[in-house]
Amino acid sequence: MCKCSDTLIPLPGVITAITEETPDVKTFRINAPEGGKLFEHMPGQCAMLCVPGVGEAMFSITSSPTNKEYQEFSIKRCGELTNCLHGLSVGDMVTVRGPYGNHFPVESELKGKDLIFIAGGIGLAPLRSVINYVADNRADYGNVDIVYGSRSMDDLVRYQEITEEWAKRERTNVYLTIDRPQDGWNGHVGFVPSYVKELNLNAAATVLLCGPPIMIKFVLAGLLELGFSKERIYTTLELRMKCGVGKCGRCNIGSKYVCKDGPVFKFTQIDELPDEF
Amino acid sequence: MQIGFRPKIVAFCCNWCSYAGADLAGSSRLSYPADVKIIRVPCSCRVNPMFILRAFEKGADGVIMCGCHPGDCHYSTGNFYARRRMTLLFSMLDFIGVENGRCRVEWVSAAEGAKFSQTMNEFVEKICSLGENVRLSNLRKTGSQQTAFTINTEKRETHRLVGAVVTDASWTGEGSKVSEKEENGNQMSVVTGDPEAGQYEPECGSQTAKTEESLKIRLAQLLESGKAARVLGWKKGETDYDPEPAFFENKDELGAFVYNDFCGANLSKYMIEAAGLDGVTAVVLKPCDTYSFNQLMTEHRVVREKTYIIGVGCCGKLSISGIRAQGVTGIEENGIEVTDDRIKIKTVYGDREIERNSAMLERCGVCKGKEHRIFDELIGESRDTTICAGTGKACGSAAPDSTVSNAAAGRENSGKDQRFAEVERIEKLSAKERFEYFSNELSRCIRCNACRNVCPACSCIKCVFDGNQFDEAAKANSEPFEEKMFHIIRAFHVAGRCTDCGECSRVCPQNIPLHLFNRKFIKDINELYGEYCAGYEAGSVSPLTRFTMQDAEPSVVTERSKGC
Amino acid sequence: MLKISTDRINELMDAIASKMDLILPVENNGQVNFGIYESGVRVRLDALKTVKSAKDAFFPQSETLYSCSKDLKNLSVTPAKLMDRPFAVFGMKGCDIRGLEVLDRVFLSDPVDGFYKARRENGIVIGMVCNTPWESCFCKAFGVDCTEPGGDATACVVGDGLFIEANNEKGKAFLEMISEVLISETLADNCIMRDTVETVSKDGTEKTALEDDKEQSVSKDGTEKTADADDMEKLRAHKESIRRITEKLPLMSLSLKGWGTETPKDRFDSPLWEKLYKPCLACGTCTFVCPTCQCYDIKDHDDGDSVRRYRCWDSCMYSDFTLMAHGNPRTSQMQRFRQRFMHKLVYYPQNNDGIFSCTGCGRCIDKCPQSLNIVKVIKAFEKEGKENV
Repeated sequence: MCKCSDTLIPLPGVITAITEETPDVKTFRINAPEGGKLFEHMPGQCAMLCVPGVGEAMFSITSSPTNKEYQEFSIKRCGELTNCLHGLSVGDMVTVRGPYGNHFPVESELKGKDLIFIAGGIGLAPLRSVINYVADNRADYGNVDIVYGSRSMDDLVRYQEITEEWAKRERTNVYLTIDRPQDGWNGHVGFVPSYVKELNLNAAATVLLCGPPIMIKFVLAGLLELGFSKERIYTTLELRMKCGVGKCGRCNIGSKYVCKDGPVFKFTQIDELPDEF
Repeated sequence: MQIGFRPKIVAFCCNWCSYAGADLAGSSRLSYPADVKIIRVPCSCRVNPMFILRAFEKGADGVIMCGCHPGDCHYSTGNFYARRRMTLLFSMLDFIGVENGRCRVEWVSAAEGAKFSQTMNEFVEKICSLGENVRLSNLRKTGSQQTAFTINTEKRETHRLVGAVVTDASWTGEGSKVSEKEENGNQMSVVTGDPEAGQYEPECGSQTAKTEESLKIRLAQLLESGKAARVLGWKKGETDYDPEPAFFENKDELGAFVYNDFCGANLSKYMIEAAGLDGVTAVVLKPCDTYSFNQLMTEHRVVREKTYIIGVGCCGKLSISGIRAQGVTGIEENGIEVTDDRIKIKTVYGDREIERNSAMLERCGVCKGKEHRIFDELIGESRDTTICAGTGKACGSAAPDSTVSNAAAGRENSGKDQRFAEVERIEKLSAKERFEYFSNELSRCIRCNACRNVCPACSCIKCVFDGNQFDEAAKANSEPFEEKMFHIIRAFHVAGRCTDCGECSRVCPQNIPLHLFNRKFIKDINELYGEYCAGYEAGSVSPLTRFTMQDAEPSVVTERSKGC
Repeated sequence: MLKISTDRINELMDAIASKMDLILPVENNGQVNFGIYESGVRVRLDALKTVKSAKDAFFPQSETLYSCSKDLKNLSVTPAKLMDRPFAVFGMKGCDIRGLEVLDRVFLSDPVDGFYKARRENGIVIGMVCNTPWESCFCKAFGVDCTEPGGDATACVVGDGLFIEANNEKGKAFLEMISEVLISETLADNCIMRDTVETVSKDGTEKTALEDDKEQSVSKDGTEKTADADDMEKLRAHKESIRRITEKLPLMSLSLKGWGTETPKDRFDSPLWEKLYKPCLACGTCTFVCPTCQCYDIKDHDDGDSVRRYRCWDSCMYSDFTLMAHGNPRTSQMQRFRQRFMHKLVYYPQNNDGIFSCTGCGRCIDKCPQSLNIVKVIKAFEKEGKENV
């Protein structure tokens, strides 16, 4: 899995491309110094990125495992480390360790199912990995609906990829929405939860949901109203992590460690957990 | 002077005078060594003591601070405050054994280019003569070791050669049989041999029990009458010796209220939380706790109107570790009986009796006095608990009718002097001995932050040590320098505000005498700026936030230690 | 089994130290902690509880993981060296050894923590029978028998003799090695190595150390076999007397009913937590002295040209423990306090076959600045449970 000598020892990685997605989100492409990927991963898994002397944090790998050349991380600027990352340029190196955590069950439970992806803001990052994985193994899955919303047009991450690639894929529908009306935007305006209700989605489908906690809360309520089963709604959680392997003890919710037993949880599992996240 | 040694020197220079002075030195072509690295600051008052320590930590061999001459400050008074601060800091550095002369303050005006150059030349020469900052850099080196337990392989050979390993011979073993033997043999323990002991004097234990009863009745009244919404006191624990601070909201809950000889915890700090609650909180404060409350009032952290203070009598509080240190273990339930000067303990290893003073908290032996500095009413009697150095006996007359005022009078010539006895003892040691003493004491620190979190003066919402600006986390003990810095800076932050309540030393799991740092500051303040006792009166101005034109210069530290 | 008279303990320690690093309880100004055996230290094998547990020996409070250059154009990672030489930890008590087992389940479960594993493999644990359990001890409640502490070998002081018995192959090899050193140093008179069942015949001097009574030990009466049986009997009786003492200690009978895997679901939301946490100062004393607390933080130390990444113990009691750039899931001290006890008594057992992550060492009782501890928590819920019925 990981080429690291110990699970806590990272590998150096080179930033080979940086895409400015939105004013505060950049996507970093990372390769091994000798070229190629640092490690293999599954959709939904995370890795620890570190700028020595600044800090280390867990980020979801946004590229699909079917991409054999590199890994990508979409990172929103919100703290000390992410600030620093945003200041880096192509050719700079960071250290990477991982992959950590579980993944979306793309090889088991999701196979053959109709899939609905619901994302808000930077929440698209972990889902993009699955969306592209599904696209590359299109025959294995049913219809795909992607509902993605953001504060404004400028805040839609991977806008180009969504409109130019995803929307053109077979048996795939993309629904975009922004919170407030904006010049030049002809699409839907409104919050994701209400949009989801309007769309009249297939309640038998499996939902993969990721976004800010408040969005998750309302989308979930809406979905349940529409007759979706909690058993078929997946989400990813995030808490402060240090080790990534369920030992440093800070990312637990009840007896589950988000870094090891998560980050992907079904809502039936989340219901079992104490309300502390 | 070491051959080829070039010192690293950091100079903090005030923008208005000294920096201009340096400029003048440059334009006048007066040279000074390139080892001096100047950091420009807006005012000498901007120099946080932490800057000085940080410079040392990062490898400086000497640190000098230059500012406008007193009276000439661009901001009129900044350098007066700086003068007091640096004097106290230098004195503390001297106290922990950092060589004298590694830090210096010099007033240099914009016109004194020649003085700047001369000062720097002198200072560099002085640092060269002191050599590398070995004491502090050694600390840094040990810090980078992999673990606390890593030793050099070479050291292994020395065991056999030196053979100086001491094994404690007192094998307290073999169940009850041996413990009886030990009881007789242990010098520390006092064997029940004096049946008369405690007969003539009121038993403080029962007195405390009476106080507890009166408190319970009164507190219940306060709650029932609605005069207080809640009571802050102590709750009975699992054993005699572990009462915990607790809020009581009704009469039923008061059933678990306790006031005994182990209620050492200072409740004042909890009043910060209570200030945010609705209604009046009745709080039980011992005499020394009232100083802390006053200080918190001075700092506007507690609300007097929302507080009803019951001053409770105090006969000196005991520490369980003090009892344990005498080999008393296996204490039975309700097995501790405290009398005026004895503690009788029933244990599964047999009954023990020890002297009360031997298990008393250090701070009680040097009590500031049994007078409550702020209260709404008083319950229970106090007794002088100061212990005379040398004899180890109580200073107070401990007469049956000893009153508060008597005890307070007694302390004037006893406890007060005693309070600084240990500081004085250490001051008399050589710098190297002082350094070794504190290095050893602080080497036990586990960075649990108990001292900080219990301290009523450490009431910052976010501690400077909890930030990310330090290489070492507030919880990492990997760097001995950080440890030292943590304790010095903490003591400095509370200097002039510390009431010497002794909680830091009480709670330290490693029994590090942290109060010595605070007392050193208090002693210096008393000597240099006049007697001051934080918390004696609410609203008093701390010596570090005032000044006089005639204050001592920081060089007084060097001069004073020359006299030693 | 190896037997040596207590006044020869220095020689035994020297013998161990000649072969490997030796870590044992040493005193510094009245405080006993585990430390390296080196010249000048004051060894206190008689101390029942060290301030900190011995977990430092395997999971140090701070340890370097790797160092890394700061040049972002040319990063290289140099992992820290793993422990690669043997060391012995002498005098760990039953509770601390149970603590190690608790840590093992965390650090040795997949993915294995290499740093811990290296120390575990190189470390030999010599347990020690508790001679004077304290009233704050409650190891029995967690199924720890302080007279059978476990470890690779077990030491016990009875009278003026120190017995060391191997518990496994590692311990056996250790004892053989040490007795060889002792014998080669002509200390054979005072140390006897033999199997617990078979009696290895040696010359008559062997008996000298066998008897408690000094006069007898000089005389040569009594056969080797009876002496051996005598010792075993003495050991057995000694342990029995200690067990009887533990029965008398007030906290040993602590009930853990309603905890672990059988914890009621509403425990997390119980209003009792709000009452219990109140005096908590949010210091880390309990977590740092605890033999099972394993939470750690990973931090950078700027060495100038490079960055040294180290890990250090962390405490769930600290407000920054779970702090993230976008918020903190545990905003109150109550939540942090609850986390600590729920982890020890509920979460850990749920993940580890019902084994509690508390060993009853009682250090939190001894050291909490405001006298909070796990016993109070357990008893408070027990009391509440009774009232509800």
